[in-house]
Amino acid sequence: MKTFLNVGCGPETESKIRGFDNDDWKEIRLDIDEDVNPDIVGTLTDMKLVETATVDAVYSAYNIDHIYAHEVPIALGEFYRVLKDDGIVFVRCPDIQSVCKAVLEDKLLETFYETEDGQKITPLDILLGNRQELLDGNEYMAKKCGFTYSVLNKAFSDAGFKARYGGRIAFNGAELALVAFKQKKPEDEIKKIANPFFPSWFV
Amino acid sequence: MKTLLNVGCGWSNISQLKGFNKDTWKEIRFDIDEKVRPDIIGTLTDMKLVETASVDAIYSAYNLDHIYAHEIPIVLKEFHRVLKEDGFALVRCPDLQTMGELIAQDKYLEILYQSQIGPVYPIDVIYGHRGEIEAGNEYMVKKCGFTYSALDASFSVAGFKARYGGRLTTNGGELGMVAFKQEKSEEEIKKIADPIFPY
Repeated sequence: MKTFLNVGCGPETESKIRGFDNDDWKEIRLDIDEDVNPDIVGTLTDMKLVETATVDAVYSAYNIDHIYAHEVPIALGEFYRVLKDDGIVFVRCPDIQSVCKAVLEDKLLETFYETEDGQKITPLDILLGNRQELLDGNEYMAKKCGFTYSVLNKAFSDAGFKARYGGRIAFNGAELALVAFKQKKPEDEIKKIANPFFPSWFV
Repeated sequence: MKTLLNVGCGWSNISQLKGFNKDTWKEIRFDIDEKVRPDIIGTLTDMKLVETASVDAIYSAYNLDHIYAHEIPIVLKEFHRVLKEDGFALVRCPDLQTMGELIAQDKYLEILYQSQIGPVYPIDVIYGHRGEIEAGNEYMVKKCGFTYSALDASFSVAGFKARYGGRLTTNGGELGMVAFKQEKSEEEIKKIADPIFPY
């Protein structure tokens, strides 16, 4: 049994996470909000309750865009620390390169995609935070940084992750997905490990 | 003597503003930070210390991008309230459309221009200057941004009947706009706007 740490997990949901949706994986949920019943209380930049080299994978979905740019190396350093030597990170966040193409086309306030519950999301919402959520007082929804694939890839490289695999995928309007490995690996092994985390048409 | 309200003035003052001659304009400096010695202390969203219909012009440079999008209508309503009937606002802020063009080309972390506090990159324009934020100046955090069409629409909705301006190449790509409370002829608009337009 391998463990993956779901950082900034939010509320528990029925839906499975692509790649971790099989019996090989046991989930450990980490969040700052005790109301979501996390297994471990912590933030991306303070994971001291997670022991060094204890998890096989870290799953980070749509949270590295909610910390300041100067905090990103700190968070990735924490990811690196808690992972076993052969560990991986599966990270997802908005692709602001695609979003910015819409801004270039003067569509800052036009619908970029619709959520499952029918919310119309604009490029401004993706870049700086969902305006409805912010209006409702959820200041933690503010975006504090954003990534293009090249910038995300470099951030993980700088944090010591020796192999990376991923790219820009058309999901939630435009998403970046990256699997980062602590250790150097041959390309066929990288693909074998990373493929389950990507839609079949990507790999 | 006409009065100019310099909102979120920081250390700036009228002597740095093109077209606002000190002989005809009296400046009122407005900021939340007492250190910059403002004449009136307040924020963009709370200008209650400024009386209704009391100023001829407002200068707002690089502060609309530091408030949340849902606060913009509140602020522009305050601008509208404190201006005299014939008043106008001169607004400057970053042009997200230019940033969009650069980031679409994957130039997110390429130097945009050199400022007084060092090089500025597109990431700094959208989210706030990283060095300043790391140093703890959280008021440097960006909370909103505009394309010209979005800025124009915001002032139109707030009741400003005539607007004049566009996208400028200065400061790595910025927006400049003069927004008038009253309807005006194109000739009148240009006569007022041209001398004060930053570049």
